Amino acid sequence: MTDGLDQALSERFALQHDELSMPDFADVLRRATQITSRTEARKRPSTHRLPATLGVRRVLIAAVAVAALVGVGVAIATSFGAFSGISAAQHPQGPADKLDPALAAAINAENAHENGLGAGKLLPDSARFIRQLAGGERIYALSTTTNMLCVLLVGQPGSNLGDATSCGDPLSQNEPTTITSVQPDSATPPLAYGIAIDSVASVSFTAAGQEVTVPVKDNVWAYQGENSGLDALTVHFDDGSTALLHNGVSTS
Amino acid sequence: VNDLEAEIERIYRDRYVALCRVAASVTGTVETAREAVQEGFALAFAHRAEFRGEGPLEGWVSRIVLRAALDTRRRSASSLGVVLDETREGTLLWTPELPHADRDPALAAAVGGLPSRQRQIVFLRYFADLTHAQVAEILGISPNTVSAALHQARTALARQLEQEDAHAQEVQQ
Repeated sequence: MTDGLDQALSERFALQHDELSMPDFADVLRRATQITSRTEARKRPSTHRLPATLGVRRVLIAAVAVAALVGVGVAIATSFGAFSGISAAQHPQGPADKLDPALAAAINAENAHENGLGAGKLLPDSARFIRQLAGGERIYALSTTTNMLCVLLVGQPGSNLGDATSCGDPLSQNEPTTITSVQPDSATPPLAYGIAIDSVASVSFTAAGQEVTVPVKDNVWAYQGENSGLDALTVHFDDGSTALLHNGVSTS
Repeated sequence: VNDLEAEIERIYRDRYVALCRVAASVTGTVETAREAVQEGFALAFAHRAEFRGEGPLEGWVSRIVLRAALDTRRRSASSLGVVLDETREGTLLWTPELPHADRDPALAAAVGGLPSRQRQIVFLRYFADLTHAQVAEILGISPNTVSAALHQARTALARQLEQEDAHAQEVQQ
């Protein structure tokens, strides 16, 4: 049965094939050079505040559907779409929200190389500082020209954590938290963190074989340590209900 | 480093078609798949020094290409630039789709009914024409796991296709 079925499946899948001509490898080399240049450009201001994100070992991004705008203030109307459901981000930009000039310049430089993947250009002026983690890392919410929600983590000056950005659609009840995990090197435990909507009280997942529950404070949760169970994360809401997210998406 | 450069170029030549098919099952079109493959290989080449040899280079490069395709589809690439994700966890985000479902709706329906991991393995084996060992490299699982999952998937597909094809014949008549 198997050989015949193998053959039949191969033939049916072959109907899905398109003609493919292989571009010269020089195109790969040209793109690689551009990536290296951008990386170097980002490394240059790292002596101030911007260590590179290279070495990030794992990034899981929870993306979500757009929720309705609520309570929009004129001054920050554009940000509310991306920040919908995130009270800690819904305030006019103040001094604490301003990104370090070197970091903002690096973001703007990267915007010039925007790669057409649809995330749009990151808007440094949309940054809202949300919370500083126990290790000193600062979590910001930013929006993009396509109204996506981006989570920016800025490491302590001099730390090897660096900065990391992950973007997705604005949060919703169905996908109520972002999930990102960064690990600058194998000697440093990974740092998992996310921005959650207001109704989320905590999240839990399996870490090193143990169930850990991480409270949400000011719309942010964070956990440093082994987190291999992060792709199955349970969200605990204020009303006592829960939702299981597989790779950031609710299964309920 | 020179060896790695040559190896990545070899993988590009050997695996280009297979990885384009994998990418097409993610992005939905050949054009975006080709772009994702170029970007993925460029990422791998630019970050080749980060390859730690914890597994075959082919698997490492293939996972980066797969992630590049996923980023294309999910519109979730870092606006700050490069986010290198060569991890096995990254492959969990992949739910392959037939690029031309209209050419074989019965197959599309049957494949759509498979659990996610089985579907990935079926695509890598039959759509990308990869061997069990190559599938295992990409997904970061053992060849035995591939064989077992493929066996289950084939059984399910055979049953489902039989029903779908019979239904299609009834409709035609």
